[in-house]
Amino acid sequence: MTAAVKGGIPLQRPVTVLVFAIVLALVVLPLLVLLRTSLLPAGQLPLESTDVTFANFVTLFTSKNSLTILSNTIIYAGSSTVLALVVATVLAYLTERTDMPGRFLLRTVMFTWMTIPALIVGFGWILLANPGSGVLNLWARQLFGIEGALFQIYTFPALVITTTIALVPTSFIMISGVLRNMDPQLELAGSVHGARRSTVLRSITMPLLLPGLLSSAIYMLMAVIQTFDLPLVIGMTAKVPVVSTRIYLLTAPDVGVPRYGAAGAFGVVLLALASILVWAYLRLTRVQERFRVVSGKAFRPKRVQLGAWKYPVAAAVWGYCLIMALPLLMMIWASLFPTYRPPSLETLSEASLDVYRTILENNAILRALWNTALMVVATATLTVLLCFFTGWLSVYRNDGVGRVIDALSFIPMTVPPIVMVLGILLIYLKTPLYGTVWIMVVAHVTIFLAFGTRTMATTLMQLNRELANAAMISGASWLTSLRTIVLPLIAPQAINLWLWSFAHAARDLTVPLMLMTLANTVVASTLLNLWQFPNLPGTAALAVMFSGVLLLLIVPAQIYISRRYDQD
Amino acid sequence: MLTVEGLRKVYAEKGGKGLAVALNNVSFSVKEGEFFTLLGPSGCGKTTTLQSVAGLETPDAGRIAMGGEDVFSSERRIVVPPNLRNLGMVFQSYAIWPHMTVFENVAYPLRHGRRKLTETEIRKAVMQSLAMVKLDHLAERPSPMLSGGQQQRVALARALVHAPRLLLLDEPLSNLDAKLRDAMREEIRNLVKALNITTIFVTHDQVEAMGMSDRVMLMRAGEAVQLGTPEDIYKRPNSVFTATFMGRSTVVDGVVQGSARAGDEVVIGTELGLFRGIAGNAIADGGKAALILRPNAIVAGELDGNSFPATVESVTFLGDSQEVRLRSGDFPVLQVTSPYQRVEVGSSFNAWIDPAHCIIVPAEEPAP
Repeated sequence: MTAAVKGGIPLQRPVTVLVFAIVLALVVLPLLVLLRTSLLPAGQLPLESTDVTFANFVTLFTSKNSLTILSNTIIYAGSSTVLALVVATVLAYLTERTDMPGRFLLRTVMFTWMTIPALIVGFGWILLANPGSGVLNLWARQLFGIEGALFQIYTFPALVITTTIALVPTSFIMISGVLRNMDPQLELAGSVHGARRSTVLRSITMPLLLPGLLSSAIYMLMAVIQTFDLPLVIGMTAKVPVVSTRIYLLTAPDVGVPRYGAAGAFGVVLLALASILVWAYLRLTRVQERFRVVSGKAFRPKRVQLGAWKYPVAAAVWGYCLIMALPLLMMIWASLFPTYRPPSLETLSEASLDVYRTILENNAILRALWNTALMVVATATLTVLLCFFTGWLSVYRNDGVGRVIDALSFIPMTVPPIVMVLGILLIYLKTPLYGTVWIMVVAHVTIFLAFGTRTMATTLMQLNRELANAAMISGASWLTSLRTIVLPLIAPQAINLWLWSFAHAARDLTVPLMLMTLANTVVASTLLNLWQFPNLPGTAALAVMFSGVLLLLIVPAQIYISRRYDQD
Repeated sequence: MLTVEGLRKVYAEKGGKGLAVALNNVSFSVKEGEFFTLLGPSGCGKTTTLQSVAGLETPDAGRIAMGGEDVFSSERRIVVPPNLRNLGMVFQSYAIWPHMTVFENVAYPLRHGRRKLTETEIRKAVMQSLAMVKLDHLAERPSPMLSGGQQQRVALARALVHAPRLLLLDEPLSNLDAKLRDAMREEIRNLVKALNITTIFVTHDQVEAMGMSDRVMLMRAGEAVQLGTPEDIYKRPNSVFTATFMGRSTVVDGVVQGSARAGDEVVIGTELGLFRGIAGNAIADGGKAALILRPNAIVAGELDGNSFPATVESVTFLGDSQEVRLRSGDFPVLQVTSPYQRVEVGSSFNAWIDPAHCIIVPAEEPAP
């Protein structure tokens, strides 16, 4: 019956069709190509063959090598998650619930740290703890006369520890949120009825926190099984291959031709693993919603008095932060000398900024800087634009179209970026888009689609629909009403999303590396190239400059946002 | 001016099972300069009707014409979008844009509408429109710094500034406090009458509807129940629903003697006795019917037909009036009298109703 009348608001239909087609092409196409590729015989290209074989999966599940890779991935993800969870919970409890000195500064430091690309931190750790010239090992030899190497960066445990340290800030933010949403009166009630502090912690606080901790843990597990940078720079030399690095190596081997079929099979397995985690995450957070412990503004928790433990605890926490910052300090040091010098007070007088000058005169690096700027600005802008429409359609179209767009835009949440990028690589390999900055923009927009659509949809839901209707009744066309009324009113959230996409696109290594050619290098891939060349001072200088720019752009915005969040 | 014919709209029910009929064959027409009200309880389809006229909803079937031009026709497959219908509308939330000044809010229809005006023309029209609602002194104020009543006036100025062919009002008074509501009711009525602009007003409040409208269409469950002047609908309801929705009354079930067409005099036998009255609607011979007794129509009189013996059970003094709860045998009847009339609790008298004030309607069918 509805089909009897065509038309309605002009342009809404073509725009809807366009957005739908874009989302379909961005999200569904790569996954279809990935599935097809996983059934591809060796030595063939997915879009040029009709042969189907299950050989890739058979090899994957029978070869000892690939079973090691799977078990590595699970052990790696599991142990880093558990360790990070423990450290982050302690830190979050200390900041949110005790009178530890410097707790506000600690939060800012944690927020800030999320901005530094993990790749750069990984390089720093290698400078600190490699068995030959690692600074920590040199000092251990000088001070204690220890023979050999005390610190071994190229080992499985070292990979787990560095990943843990990289993971702590994110989990700290999540767990602080869980702690803050809990009503402290429930704990108070425990102590009023005669329980000791340790009993309250064990019998009331922990059980209440458990769902929140579990969902944070699953979120982190997802993050680790798809993480790529640390397994690449540390894990490869340590001979600890995981699924993400395996997929990369299969598509860009040092020798021989790419084995897309095998990579596709690994991608499908990783996708399945991630889907299970997402399903568990969604279930848990839904359960959490139901048992949400509502807390009013009036009930600010009474902070636990640390007493005599106050300063030792603070010292331990800031000691941890120093350890966390060591790799970056190391990179700063390395950037000050044209040839690498171990840190000491004597050499400090020879420090100069010469390396920075050389870097900024290098045409290849300048081009990478330009590519990066173009890529991140285009990614952020297109993400905001596309997500504005997907969000709008999922909120305002109550029919099937709205629901389908909503569901499609959620899919990238489930797909590990490396799998998504693999699909995109396979689609565009033979098109002119391959080898340009724009293929990276496509990949990033796809990966950010889920988060962006959620953000825009939540914002638009809070906007009274009559505001836009009033504009149309006043004679404005649909697009004019969006431009003059809706967009200005959601500008703060749109700018937030823009900054978020900007930062995430800039620090990401997965997309640039998987899609790298000689023409489209960006800062992240250039860093890796310089490191492998090897040009250590150059890597360090570029890394320091890059981190500096990111910090300057992102941190003020983040502090501003977290202030506003605190006031609410 | 406005013709609506056979409007029909069906929604998929929440949860995906089944269909809910929002509008079923709704037709009416509004004359040039008329103040026309869509009245009914929530969910009756009045807002869907208004949104269809506005172009914010697309009905499944029917026709809507404005000044002889089809803006919607399922048969001719025409849907004119809202921005090309040349309308003014005041929304329930007022929908004043918070990122603009009062002036920019009112100037919007001139800046983005069909006609292109110079800046001087815009300024003149906006100030004129603001003066009309007595807000010209607040033109440069940011709109979040307005009270509810002021926002309402800005919304009205914005809806009228581009001289639309139709003014649509979607429950504009429901967010105001009682005193302001009374004042705005009169002001809006006077303003649109002075401008002679055709107005469609949506409300669930029968007092608003009666106080403002030239004609009222009462709706229920997606269908039009009765259409007429406020006085008509109050004094000549065609159903128990209309009678009880338009004001308080005592409903007495009974059986008519003989058949009647609307407007005929007819006799009904009830628990309280035989009553002569006017049929509000066609009633079949010997059919089940209901006698509607308006509380103001009950007076003291002789016990000679159209009357019943009544005992005063309680009196509530309200200032403007007083409510008297009567009882005749076991049957409770409500009477409203002047506050100056002395009524003793426990006293008895003969209650009489003028046959011209007795309305007899078909018995209520079970609600759909």
